[in-house]
Amino acid sequence: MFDLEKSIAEWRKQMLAAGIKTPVPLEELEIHLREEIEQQMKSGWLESNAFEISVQRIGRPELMKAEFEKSERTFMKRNIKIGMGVAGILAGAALTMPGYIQLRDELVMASGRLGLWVLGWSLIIWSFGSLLRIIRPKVFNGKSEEVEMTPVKQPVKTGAGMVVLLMGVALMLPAAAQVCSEGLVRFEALCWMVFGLALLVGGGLVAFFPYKHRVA
Amino acid sequence: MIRKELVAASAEPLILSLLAKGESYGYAIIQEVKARSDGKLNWTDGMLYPVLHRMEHRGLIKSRWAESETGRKRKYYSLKKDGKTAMARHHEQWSLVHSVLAGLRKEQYV
Repeated sequence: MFDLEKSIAEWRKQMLAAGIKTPVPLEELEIHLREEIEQQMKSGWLESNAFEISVQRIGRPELMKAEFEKSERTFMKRNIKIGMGVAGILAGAALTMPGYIQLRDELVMASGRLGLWVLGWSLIIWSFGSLLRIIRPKVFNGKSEEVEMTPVKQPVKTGAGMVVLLMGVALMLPAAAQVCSEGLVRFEALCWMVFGLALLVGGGLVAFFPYKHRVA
Repeated sequence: MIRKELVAASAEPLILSLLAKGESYGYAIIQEVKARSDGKLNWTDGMLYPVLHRMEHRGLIKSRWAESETGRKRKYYSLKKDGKTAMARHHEQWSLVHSVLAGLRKEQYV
């Protein structure tokens, strides 16, 4: 005598043996199997035939396992990248701390600590950028396209970028001079250096990167 | 019967387009695809779920467990904002392929 519940339990065991161990897919697959069996029985099949047809329709467990693994791998990879991004931000913040402490107490920053401070901020910015790229879902690859610029606009854009870039370099010079001559940088010069660095990066982006826009 | 490569490539746009009409669950999605293709687009039922899970991980769709009117537990899927954008892109690309093919076919009969 055919026992449907026993057969479904056996099918579950086969699925587990094939490696579909996470509860959600298996539960979903079982619900699907039961719906299909019900449908087959409504079409006139006996319970045992309905079960066999439905199991065949669900497909081979090892193929399903391979497909599930693909999505799990993607998920794990994404989580590892997010973890590395967060760790990068924390490590960057830790590297900037000695400089900040010296700056708070003495209003100066020794060259070694300034180096760490710059390294820390570079790490924070890089990690933050990586996190943004991961968190913002990639719907399409290569989804931005270059926009053609008129012959007048292109040199204006490059020129403006270069001017901003040079202004940034100029603002960083006092801090560099202080580091060379005294081995430390004062608070005021450090502020100008940060501002200069921002202008340098912004100017560089405007001058050397092609204008792109995102394709819908 | 449609080739398996084409079946695989069309799974995502079809799922997105079906979910654009409202939330649905695995079994209903398969039944609707079968009905709309007169049974010619035949997915292996179990293969739908890895695709759904992958799309959920990519942020195109979201899911929730709920009970059906018959009391059966079901996992309902619905479209997210990025899924709508992805669907628009799929429609654009498939329409392009279709128009190129239709144009070439028309030329053969001229």
